[in-house]
Formats: sequence, C-alpha cells, structure tokens
Amino acid sequence: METTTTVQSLGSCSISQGQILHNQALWLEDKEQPFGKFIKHAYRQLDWHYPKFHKMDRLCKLATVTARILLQNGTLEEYNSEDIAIVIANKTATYHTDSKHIASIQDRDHYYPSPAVFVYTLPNILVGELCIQYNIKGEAAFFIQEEKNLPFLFDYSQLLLESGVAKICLTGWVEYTETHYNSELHLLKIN
Amino acid sequence: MKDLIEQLKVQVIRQLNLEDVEPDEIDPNENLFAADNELGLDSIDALELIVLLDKEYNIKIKNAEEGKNVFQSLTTMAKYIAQHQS
Repeated sequence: METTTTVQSLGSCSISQGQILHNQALWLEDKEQPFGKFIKHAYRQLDWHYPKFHKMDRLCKLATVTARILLQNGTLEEYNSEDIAIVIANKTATYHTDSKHIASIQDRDHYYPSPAVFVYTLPNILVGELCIQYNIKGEAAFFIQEEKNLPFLFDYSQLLLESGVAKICLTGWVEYTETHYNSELHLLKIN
Repeated sequence: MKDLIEQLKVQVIRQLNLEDVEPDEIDPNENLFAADNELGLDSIDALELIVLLDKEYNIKIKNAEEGKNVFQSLTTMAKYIAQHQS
C-alpha cells in the first residue's frame, strides 16, 4: 500500500496456498501440505501457546496466524483499546463452517447440532477472536465482498483514522474455502 | 481400555471439531479442562462431551458434579464408560 499524507502502513502479512509473507519477505513456505497441517506448522513456528487455537474453525485459524505474525512485535500495546479499529472482509463469509453445521442437522433421526461448530458460523466471530487476542475495543466491521478489494478497505480505514474514530487500524482480507485460502492483513496508522 | 481410549480420542476430536488435531497429540491422562491444556476446552465443550457419551455410548450424565469427575481426562472417561457399559 502506498503511504498517503495522513495514513502510514506499519506492516503486512499474507498467507496463501502454502506461503507466508511478512512485510513482503518469505516467512514460511510449504506448498505440499494441506491447509490443516500447514497452519498448525505455522502456529508452532510462532512458539506461542494459545489454547483456543485448536478449537477454532479454519477461517479463524487463518486470521489468527496472519495477525500474530503481523502483530507479535507488540505494536498494538502502545494504543488504548478504544483507539484500535478492525476492518476485515471476505467473499464466502463462514460458508465452510456453515456447511459442517448443516451436515450435522440433516438427519432427523441423528439430530446432533454441535455448539463447537455452530459458534463459528458467523464471520464476526473472526473479528471477535482477534479483538480478544489483542484487546481491540474500537470500531469493528466485517464486510462481504464479491472480490478481494483492498483499496476499499484501505479507504474505509483511512476514513476511520482521519475522522479520529481510530488511531490505528488492522484491516484486510481473510478467505477460506475447501479449495483455496488467502489472507492479507495490514496495520495502518494515522501519520 | 487402551482401544477404548484411542477410540475416544477420535470421537472427541470429531465431536469438539478439533479439525487439525491428531489423536497422538492428546495425552489421555492430562486434565482436559486445565488452563494450560493445549486443547483449551471450555464449558461449551463440556456440553459436547455429554452429548458424545449419550450419542456414542447411550450414557446420560446425571448432574454437573458427576460430569466434573467423569470428564477429568480421557482415561477417567474411558473408565466411566467401561463401568457403565458392563
């Protein structure tokens, strides 16, 4: 992202199809591993003990690892919680987890809806997970977009920052489907 | 008992939606709900384990106190199932 006169980028992290980039530099790569093994490998590389990680659905795991790589230097700790905004988007919401929930309630004779699955059938839960992890209490939003549109997210973040609603904003795209996953998070602050 | 514990590991992983956890990553003697347990189980998962016992073994937990003792670890769960199925 190009820096504007008022908004500065403090870093980025992206994860896509077996490759993790942090500030455009390669952080981890293994294009052979399926997503489950790859994201667990990345989590272990962080040397971070977060008990809720294994219970998360894959969309939240993807967001959690991306955010952790970007934010592990502790930048957000310098800000008041209410001054930190989070703006995320994707195309399929939580469709992968929704499908699992639907499958668990299809058979009337074996009707066992699972709270452990159901709790993740809302994309705002991803935002909630990151808010808990980083004590974010400012403006929060999750948009559903037809295509990945970072300029829109950057413009929206810039509005929040320039209007004083937030002093720093975690923004980006987090998408998971059975065949494809892609996350790209940026940390933006007012100059 | 060992077979039952291995079976329980698979069932717990499925029931609790621990999608990418492998059975050999679960210590059968570790306290399932301990704060430092890597699985990070909470009260929602306790409900799930009650459902698991009902669904897979036709065993109903009578009250919360009983549940607390049964679900201490996979080993205590396995012993409870073995006692109540015989």
